[in-house]
Amino acid sequence: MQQFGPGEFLFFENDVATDAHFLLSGQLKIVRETEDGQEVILRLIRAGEMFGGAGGWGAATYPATAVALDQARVFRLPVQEFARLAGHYPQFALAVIEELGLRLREAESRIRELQVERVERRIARTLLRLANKIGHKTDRGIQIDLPQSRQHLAELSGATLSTVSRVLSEWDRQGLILAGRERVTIVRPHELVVIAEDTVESDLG
Amino acid sequence: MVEDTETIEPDTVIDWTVTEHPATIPVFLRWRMQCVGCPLARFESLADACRIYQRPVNQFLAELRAAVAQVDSRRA
Repeated sequence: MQQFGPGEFLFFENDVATDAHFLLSGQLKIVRETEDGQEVILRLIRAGEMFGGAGGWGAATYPATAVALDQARVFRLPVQEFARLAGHYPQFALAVIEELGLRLREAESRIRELQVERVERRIARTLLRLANKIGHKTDRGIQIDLPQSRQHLAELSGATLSTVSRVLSEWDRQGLILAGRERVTIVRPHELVVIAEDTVESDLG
Repeated sequence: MVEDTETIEPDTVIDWTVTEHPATIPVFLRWRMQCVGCPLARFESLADACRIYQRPVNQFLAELRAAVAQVDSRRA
């Protein structure tokens, strides 16, 4: 059993994965650094959870870094011991499989989210391009006259008709645009640009 | 929309402002407004931008005008 204080590192990404870890009390975060040196939190670990266990299922090194957020008490189980336990106690192995299954489901739903985000960006960009070419300002916003607007947007943005319909309806419901059969009006241009460019205001800070 | 006068007013178009008066670009950046290069800048006015970013119009316009005036005085 080991104790770590706030901000203390338990292990670093790419360190040799010698142990599987169990958090007994406290809280910690699993982080990775992006290419431009920004820290991204992958998971928050709460008491009772297993983490840094990749060595237990075959990884040579830790895929991410673990940092304590407060006083964290950690139980370290050497990977050889982990394998021995899994071999001798099917219930331990099953619990690990359950945990991995849960994380896989989380990862899959995240992938689906990202796919949806991408298609929304493409549609937003297509709308901006169209606005620039054929848009004109009206009282209600920037109007794009486009017969069979959904069909054309689908073709221009490489999305299916049903996806375009769903995204436009959602934006219409949120008040970003007015989606009509023969025209689309951009009511809140700034927010559409934010979706298209995936920018946040702090990017300039 | 005032595109044909040389004054910077609330209803002046953003795109016109930064194209005609590049000296105003640093002002947008300093105020952390992402209007420069925005694909819809030719549709939106300076007042629109201030409303979106919740910036005080009068103060913002004063800085834009000051930036333009500084360039003009150097040219003179």
